[in-house]
Amino acid sequence: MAAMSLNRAAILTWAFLVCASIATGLLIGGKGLSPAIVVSLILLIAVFKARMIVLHYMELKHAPLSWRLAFELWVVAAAALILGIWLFTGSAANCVAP
Amino acid sequence: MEHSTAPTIGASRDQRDLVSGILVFIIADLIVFGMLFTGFMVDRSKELAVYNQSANTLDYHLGLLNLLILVTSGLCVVFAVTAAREGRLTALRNWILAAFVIGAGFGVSKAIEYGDKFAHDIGMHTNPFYMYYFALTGAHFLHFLGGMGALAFIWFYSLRHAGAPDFRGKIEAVGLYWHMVDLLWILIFPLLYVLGLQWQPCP
Repeated sequence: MAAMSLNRAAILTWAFLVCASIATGLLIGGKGLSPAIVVSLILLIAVFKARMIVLHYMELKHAPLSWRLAFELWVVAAAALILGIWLFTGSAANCVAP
Repeated sequence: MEHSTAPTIGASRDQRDLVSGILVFIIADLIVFGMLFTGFMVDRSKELAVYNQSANTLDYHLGLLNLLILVTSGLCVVFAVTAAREGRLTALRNWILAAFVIGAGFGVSKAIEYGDKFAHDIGMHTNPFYMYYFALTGAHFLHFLGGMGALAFIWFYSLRHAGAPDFRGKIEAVGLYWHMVDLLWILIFPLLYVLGLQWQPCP
């Protein structure tokens, strides 16, 4: 029965990944939100997506804590670096000088 | 991987070693990609207009489609690994085959995307953005091809060796590697396709 619950977690993860990807597409195509909010939200969604893969596809939820931490840390660090550099290098402006 | 709820897993030391080995490989690979992401962001900040303009030539729909293909193929691999643990061989093979066929869609989509770029005479040397674009998506594509090869290998291997003591470790390792390909695309997508999308040159 453990396998059943693993499969169920994986199916829920897949459903989340599909919904999150649709939400990402809507955010990209949407109007009216500032670029800083759009990019921050999309990267936040990416972190959750990556985390779900790590925990439920790779099953690191059940692995020794050190493995789980290493992968979760990578996900957060990679997204934080991208967003941090993006925000602090003037990318959030609405236009850029050619 | 050691699994508290699936007692068959981690039964032999060799299996655990193989899974630990692949996890070390994956984390090392992720760190290299993380450094490339950082290099891209730093270089991008020096030439925002070029990077933004070039990012706007990419079709984010294809990037999202690729993501959906990879995570759906990944789900099939999860089912395959579960089937292997329960000794359901036919199901295992069918899920691996499904993962391979769905995964092949990523190759088709990439061929369309690269083909479009080449048709417009856009290549690695067009500008720094495209250098990163082809380097990052190309390196990812090689990982994808490696994963497809691994799926094909495990399918053929299961025909004769599904009962071998090392089989479960092998299929777990293949599964972990395949999920890494999803994981990387989840971050490559916003990096290349999203960051520069909404910007116009200042009037």
